[in-house]
Amino acid sequence: MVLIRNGVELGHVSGELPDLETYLAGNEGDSVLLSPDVDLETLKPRLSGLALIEVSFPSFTDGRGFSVAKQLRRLGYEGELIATGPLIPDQYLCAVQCGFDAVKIEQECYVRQSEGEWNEALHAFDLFYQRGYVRQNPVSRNITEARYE
Amino acid sequence: MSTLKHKGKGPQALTANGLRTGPVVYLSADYTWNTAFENAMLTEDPLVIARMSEAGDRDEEENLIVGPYFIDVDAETHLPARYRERFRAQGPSYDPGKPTYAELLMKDGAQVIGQQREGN
Amino acid sequence: MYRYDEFDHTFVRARSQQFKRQVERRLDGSLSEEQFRPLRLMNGLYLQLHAYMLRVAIPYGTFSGKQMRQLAMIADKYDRGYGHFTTRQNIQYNWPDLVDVPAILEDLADVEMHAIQTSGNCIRNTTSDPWAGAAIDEIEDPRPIAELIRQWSSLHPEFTYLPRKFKIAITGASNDRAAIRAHDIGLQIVQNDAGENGLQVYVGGGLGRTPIIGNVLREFISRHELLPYLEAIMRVYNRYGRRDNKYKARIKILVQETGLEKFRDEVEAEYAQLEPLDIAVPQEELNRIADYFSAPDYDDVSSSDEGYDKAVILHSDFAGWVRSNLSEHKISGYTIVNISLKPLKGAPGDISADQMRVVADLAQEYSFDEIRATHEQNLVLANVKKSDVYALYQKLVVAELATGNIGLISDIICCPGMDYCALATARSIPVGQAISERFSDPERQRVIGEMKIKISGCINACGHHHIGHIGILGLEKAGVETYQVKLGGDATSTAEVGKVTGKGFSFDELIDAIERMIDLYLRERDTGERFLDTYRRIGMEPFKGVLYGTD
Repeated sequence: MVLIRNGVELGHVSGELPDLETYLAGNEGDSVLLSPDVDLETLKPRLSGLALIEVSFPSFTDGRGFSVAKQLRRLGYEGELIATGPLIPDQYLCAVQCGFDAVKIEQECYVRQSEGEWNEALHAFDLFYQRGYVRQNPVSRNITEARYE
Repeated sequence: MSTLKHKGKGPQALTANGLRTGPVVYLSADYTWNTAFENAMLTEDPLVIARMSEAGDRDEEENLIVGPYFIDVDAETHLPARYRERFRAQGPSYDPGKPTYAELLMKDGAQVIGQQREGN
Repeated sequence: MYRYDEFDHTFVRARSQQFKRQVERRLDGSLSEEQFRPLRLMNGLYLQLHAYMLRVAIPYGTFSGKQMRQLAMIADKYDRGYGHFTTRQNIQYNWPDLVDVPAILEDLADVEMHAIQTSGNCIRNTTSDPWAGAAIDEIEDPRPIAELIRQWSSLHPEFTYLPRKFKIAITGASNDRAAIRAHDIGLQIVQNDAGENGLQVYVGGGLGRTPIIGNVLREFISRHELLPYLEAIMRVYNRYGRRDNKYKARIKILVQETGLEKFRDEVEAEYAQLEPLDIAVPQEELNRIADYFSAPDYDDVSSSDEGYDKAVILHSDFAGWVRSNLSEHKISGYTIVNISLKPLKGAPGDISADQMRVVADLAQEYSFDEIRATHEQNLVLANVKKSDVYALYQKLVVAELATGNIGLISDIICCPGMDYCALATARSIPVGQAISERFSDPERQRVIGEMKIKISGCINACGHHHIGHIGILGLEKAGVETYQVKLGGDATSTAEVGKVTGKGFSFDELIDAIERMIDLYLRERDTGERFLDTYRRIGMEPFKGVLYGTD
């Protein structure tokens, strides 16, 4: 798997995170892999102990993970949040705006869509109509707020 | 191995859409893609069908065409057997003041996509 | 109408640039067809039965003469000189080249238009009442809220990869001309006990394979809180809507399987966790958008006009057209002009580039430079002085746009069907044409009165056949077109899904079958009854009798 953060490829990463059941069963560890159908209520009591969460995307057209990220951030999770699966650069902004720090994709996806395209995608827009989805790096603006600055 | 399948009922033609401009195209005997059904290669020969299959896969991979698939052709009329495919070959059936497929083909001539290749 | 500010302009240009790169990446192979497909769909680009098809958004159906002229230019330059108005107030071109689409999007952006989210599993164009701002039964013009939703839903980071498409409709009038209960979310502007206007929210309506009439999810939400409330609905749907079967992926199935009460609880629970005031729309922004829709500068004219009255008496063709195509306006001395795109032998909703330019001219000259597209695939000039109507009519006659059949049996909603659509199982346009031809006598149409015939060429129901007084569904049975008939559907505030009469008809049998039903209705009707009323009173059996000879 290839990790991309801030539009930069950070090399290969291997090793799978424990799934939710394993994480909840144990008393240690600070990372977990969530499936997109996760019931966040079950995770809530143990959320503060986490430093790394990956949310899996079964296919690039399955957008559940975006809402999971949004909800995790709302619950106060401040650690690293990674979208894992066959995402394409054209979704990178969505991921970042919903609260993901990085994406982790298969090597074979990365062959077609390499660093340049991920980096370009990150900069495709810097203005958005939605409030509550603003991104820090690079900085984006909400149009409604920008109108009255 | 090719992912293209055919049911092998009678003569077959291979069809797709051109990627850049979108028209319905048929693989012709020189292995180019042609917008006129009358130029489609029709065959029942399994060896030729296998070669057509490879051509479909290759030209899709090379971003010439989109979504190739085999269609059954009526052995007597030499028209597509299925009703939907007849529409695809002939164009919209109504034409209040608009050119029909046949008229457009007459006016512009058949378009060809791809380069000629040997049939073997 | 709404005008882009610098931010809207920048946004739409950035989107057009993004799509240009997506096309380049598709052509060089960086994007596979599988990856490109959802991206092009989200920009309105299909690969249809014959060719690419580009669907351009006309937000809530309102556009200007200048925009119409640009649509005509695009039809001439990149297509075959015509366009097709759809049942969702959009326009589509049937023959563009993929490589031309980026240039088309730039041309659209020049006139503040785009093709964003006219397809794909995302929030589609919000549709509305084509008589908005002019209707006598209106509480409030729904378009400022529709524009607010347009902006909010454009490239939404969270709700762009939904289980399935998502359609929102809004009306501000008591008579529903936007079929809001046939939408994923329907919004009705209502007044609460405190005298404030807000929204009543319907959810889970839709046509397709499983037609369902939407139910009330919330009786009242203020306009400030509408977007946060919609966000809560969308989040519940995005997380829990089915993704295992595309035919069960619409929100209507989620609502049905969850149960309305439990679904409501989930939405309210999600909504309670939002901080609405952080994401609610500030009053100044609501005001800014609403200002664009303030009433035009109406002249103070008397309610009747001598020239108009005289023309009605002198010209019977004009009088007939007036009877069917004009609707009452809230301002005295003005009228709403409905322009039919259902001429005899035409394809419902089709319009040539030359006709587009005529409509653009007429809008500029007579209707404050504003045009509406309707979900019934017609056009509207919403603010015309009665004293101008006859002159306008004569220009429509020259342009072959003066068909006087609005609301009558030949004013048929019809999907493109097998003539264009990759999903279709049968033709629908020729069926519509054959019905129009059979009932072509204007006097006979007038005697039959209000009649909504709606035709779909497949089970996906783009031609709204479930909610036609007579609905027709084209299917393929053993290589032959077969047409199933439904009766009693209704798209208005008394919305209902029609019922199937029985076995289907061949193309040739169908038109006779319809005529037998019309004759039955004419025999059976009480004074003032529409076809739908008679059907509701006497029921299905007598119609089955004339259809299948069982009586």
